[in-house]
Amino acid sequence: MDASLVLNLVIFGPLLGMVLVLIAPAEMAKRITWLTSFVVFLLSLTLFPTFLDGSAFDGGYGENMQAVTQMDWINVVGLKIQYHIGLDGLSFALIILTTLVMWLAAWTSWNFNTWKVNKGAKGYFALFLLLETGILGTFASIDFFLFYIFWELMLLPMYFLIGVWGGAKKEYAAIKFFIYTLAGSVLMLVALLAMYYSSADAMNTSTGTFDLITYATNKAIQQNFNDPNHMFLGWNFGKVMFIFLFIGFMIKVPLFPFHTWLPLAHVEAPTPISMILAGVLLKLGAYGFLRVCYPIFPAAATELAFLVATLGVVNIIYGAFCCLAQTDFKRLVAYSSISHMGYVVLGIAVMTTTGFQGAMFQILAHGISSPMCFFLVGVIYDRAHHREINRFGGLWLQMPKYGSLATLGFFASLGLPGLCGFIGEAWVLLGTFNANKVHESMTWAPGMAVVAAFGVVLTAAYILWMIQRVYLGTERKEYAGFPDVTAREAAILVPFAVLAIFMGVMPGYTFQLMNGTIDQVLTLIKPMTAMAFGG
Amino acid sequence: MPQSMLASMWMPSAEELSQLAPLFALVATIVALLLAAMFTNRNRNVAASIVTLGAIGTGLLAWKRLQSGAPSWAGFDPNGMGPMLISDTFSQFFIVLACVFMLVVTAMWWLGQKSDLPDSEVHRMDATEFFVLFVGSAFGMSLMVSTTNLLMIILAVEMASLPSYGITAFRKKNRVAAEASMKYVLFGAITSAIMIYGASLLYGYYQTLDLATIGMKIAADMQAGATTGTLFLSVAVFAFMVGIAFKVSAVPFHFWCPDVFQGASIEVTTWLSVASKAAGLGLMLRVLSVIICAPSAFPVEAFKYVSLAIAIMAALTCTVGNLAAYRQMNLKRLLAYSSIAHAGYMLMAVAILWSPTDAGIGAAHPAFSAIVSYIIVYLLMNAGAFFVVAMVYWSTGSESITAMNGLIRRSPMLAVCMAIILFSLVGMPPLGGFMAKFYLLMAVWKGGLYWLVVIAVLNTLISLYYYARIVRAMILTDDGLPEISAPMSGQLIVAMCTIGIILTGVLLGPMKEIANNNASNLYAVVKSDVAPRTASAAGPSAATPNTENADTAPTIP
Amino acid sequence: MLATIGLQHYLILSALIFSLGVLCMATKRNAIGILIGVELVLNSANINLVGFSKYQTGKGDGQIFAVFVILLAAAEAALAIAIFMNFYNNVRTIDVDRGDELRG
Repeated sequence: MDASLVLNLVIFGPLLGMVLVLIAPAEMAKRITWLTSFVVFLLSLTLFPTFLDGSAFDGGYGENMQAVTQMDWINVVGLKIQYHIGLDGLSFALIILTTLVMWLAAWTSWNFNTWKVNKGAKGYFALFLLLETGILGTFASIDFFLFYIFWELMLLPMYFLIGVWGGAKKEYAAIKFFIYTLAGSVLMLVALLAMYYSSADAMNTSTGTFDLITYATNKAIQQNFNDPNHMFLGWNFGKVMFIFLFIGFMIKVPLFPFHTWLPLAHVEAPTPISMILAGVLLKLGAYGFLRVCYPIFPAAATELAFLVATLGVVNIIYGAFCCLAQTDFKRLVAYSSISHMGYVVLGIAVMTTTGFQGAMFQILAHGISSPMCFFLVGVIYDRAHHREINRFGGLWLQMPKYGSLATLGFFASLGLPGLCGFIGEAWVLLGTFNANKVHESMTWAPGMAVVAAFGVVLTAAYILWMIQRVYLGTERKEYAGFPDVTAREAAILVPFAVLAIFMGVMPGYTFQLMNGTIDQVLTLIKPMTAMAFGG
Repeated sequence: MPQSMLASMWMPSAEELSQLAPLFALVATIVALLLAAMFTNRNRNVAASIVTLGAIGTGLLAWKRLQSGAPSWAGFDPNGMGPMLISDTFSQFFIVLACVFMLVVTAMWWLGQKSDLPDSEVHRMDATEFFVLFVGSAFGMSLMVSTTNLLMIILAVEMASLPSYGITAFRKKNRVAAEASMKYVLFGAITSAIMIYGASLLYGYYQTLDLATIGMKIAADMQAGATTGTLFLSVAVFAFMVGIAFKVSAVPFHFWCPDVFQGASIEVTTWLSVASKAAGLGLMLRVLSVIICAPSAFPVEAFKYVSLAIAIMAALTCTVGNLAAYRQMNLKRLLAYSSIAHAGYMLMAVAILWSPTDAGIGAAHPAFSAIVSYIIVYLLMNAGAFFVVAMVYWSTGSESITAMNGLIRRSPMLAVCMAIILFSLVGMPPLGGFMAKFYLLMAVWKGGLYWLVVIAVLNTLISLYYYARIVRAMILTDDGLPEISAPMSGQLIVAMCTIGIILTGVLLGPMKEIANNNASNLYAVVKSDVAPRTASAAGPSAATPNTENADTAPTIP
Repeated sequence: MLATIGLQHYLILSALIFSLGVLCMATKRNAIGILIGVELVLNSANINLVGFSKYQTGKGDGQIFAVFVILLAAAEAALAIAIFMNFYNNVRTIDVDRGDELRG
């Protein structure tokens, strides 16, 4: 099948499934959702060949996008918006990750009937599939307007999924999530308008462009966007736009100090939604940095590198310390997400090949390990109906299979060598440590790396301490007779476990999917980053 | 002497009269209502049918003129004092909108009389009077967008206002309605008195009632570098604009709006929420366009302050509207503040339209187009939202936000539609509300008022919370209220509005194109009102150049 | 010596009446009192219109305008008083400060 057709099907297949869910009787809803997300996952796998043989990475950035569909959505005087989707190394792996996590999350929702709030199955699964369309669309969009539409499209389903089917404080969690994210997107909207009209000025045309690739590759637009003398309301245009976009994306990542919605949303959301939130939604913020902020505003990015890197390091350390203080199992995993996403931001901030590679790898690694961890928490919550770490103990003995898989999952999250988390963190730290050799101005980089490395120790501390309290120790009476993982639960955990080991042992295959594009991006932005320091 | 007087006496020709067919159709509807009441013993169904037919007929007449691209016509120009009435794409567009909305409100009335609330008794008893006043205000609003003459503007505004006061007070036994109508009539009387005073000053200074002539004289003064009388002029213009700001409910002339929306019955609220604002906006565009948009030289500096004042007013209007909506528990009152906020968004485009910078001129067309799309989408959103509120009200007798609790169970269809409508009001893509707002912001950005864009998007954020409160009540909260029995036809209307909102969002291409084309017509016509009445304009009196009489106006010693 | 009555005298009178009207609207708490203020403002506009018409344009349009304003004022007053009576029936007063059910 034609690759671009496949990509369209992948994006809009869930929407089709949603219509089916709405038409079919309620008891069919979960089957349709499972099937839809599985078919979408299989379809997305067929996109692999060009990325494996490297032919996707010929030419410069954006010159050889895969599975492209490009047509005018709206083309009138003064306004041109395109339906333009496609894949490159930045987005491809994330598409696969999304379809996989969504499929497994759909499977996790299989016991919907036993939930505390189990009304409205149709609504739940319909919104679930709508969410999948939103996420996949955002990853695949090349047109910034389209990107924005899909980005916002994710908000509503997420609001309802947390708000209706969540825990005790679900309403507060849902509205907080909504308001934070919308705050980010309105800033993005301002940047969207500014970039559109500035691109029109730069190209001397009446109609600007929303094309993210054109923004990054067009010489005139790049000059205009990165011109130190281009002012916007009295400040440097590039910097203002970079900051607007950065705030928009950092809320999603989430970066300190805009992270407070995340633990709340995670704790209140049902397990599959937590998996999606941690596994995929957080990645959108980081993807936004890589796709929008850095290739388009390299000069501003270079000048603000210290700030961004600091935010990343603060996230790592702050998140880890928060984890140490948690007694709620799910909240601990949520804060560990914050900590891990700090590595991603740090890797991006230093703008070196190793840093970018590490960041991308960490995105994927965390996309595997965090849903797994949330699912592991969900498994035990289903049985014990509480999440107090200190009330658990000796679970490994009660549930040997579960205990082994859990240890594997948390070790992957910890960054144990041989598992996926290690590679990402190591690459990021290496990239940061050597950043002052690539960018002379980044004299602070080695110090930053040392501080960040301290985060690895903290991570080990909180995870090991948690494992000790929950899985090791003496058996407790109240947990006697808990059944071990069921076949369904094992089927969900095993793909995560296999991927965690595979990516840790043979990271080359994963790097192969994205390195080409990372090199293209860095080549592209090199002159601009150099210019930012007058060199 | 009598002979020559008779000969010089001016009579409109049949051709001229035919240009105003939609307006006559509205008047005919009123007459038919009154006559029918006499002969059918005040049968309410007959009255409602007549209004329905009248609205359809008027709408078709206006639509025909809109479609046929009939040239703009400006007429009734006795003694060359400037045309009294205008019929162009701009006015026909607004008349079509008013007719569509009349149908919506009539449908609401029809459904509402079946409920067993105290309101419905009034509906059944005094249907004729209600409809006469209702069509009367529609007629006034149609007049508002069809004239550039000061006298006609005043008459039109009053024609729109007076019946509105009347229908607001229609629930006679209701204390809240009595209070709302009293506030409405007092605010209305005060602002219109000040407006008339402003009009008298304009008339005195420029010695004409024709706004186009006034615009040209201002331009001539500016070119001559006149600085005297600037204060006088600004006082006059601002006094004049007070009346229009009242109709649009722009801050600080918005105080009547929440009270009236809460106090009036839901049909009246629905009607005023869209029609009154659209007409006021239409009048504002018309006035500003003919005053400011002078043909020869654009007065570059002169109206910077007018544009700035409108921009500030727009910013205040949407901020105040959104902030005040926070603490509202009454749905109608909440939607009233929401409508104030939306009027603020639309005023932003008005500010741009007449920003005298180069960027402002370039943005005029997108701004027009944006207002056209916004009004259409706004009509759909408000019609849908008020219809849902009305159906909940008929079934529960409560307008409180708590009446919506658990609507997703009590009437899933209504709850889903309402949620979509509310998120469209917030401006969430991919719904129509977002697209309309996006066009608006694009135009404002293009006009160079970046800070206004920032204020608009911040307001979007503010507004989320109170709209989401309704959604929360509908979907997240459930306190076991009984299911509601919404009439099928009502549900159908809500569903149609919702589908319309989704379509205007997704199919924005064709929609924008239509808006663009219409906007270019509107824009051209408004322009040509000024430059004009040259050979291109049709109609015998339209060809009369105004400049001459204006310049050679005799003065009595 | 009595100076000839000219346009400015009319304008000064009109401005005075306008100010009185605005003052009246701002200070009266009785609905009828406010309505009287409105009438004063309308009449000041009428004086303007007639004065300008007589001394400046020489055409009848201002005077016609004034006639319409008188009619409008009458219609408005009729409607307003009907609404005041309705309010009185409900609240037993026409003190506008007693209209305090709708706020916020």
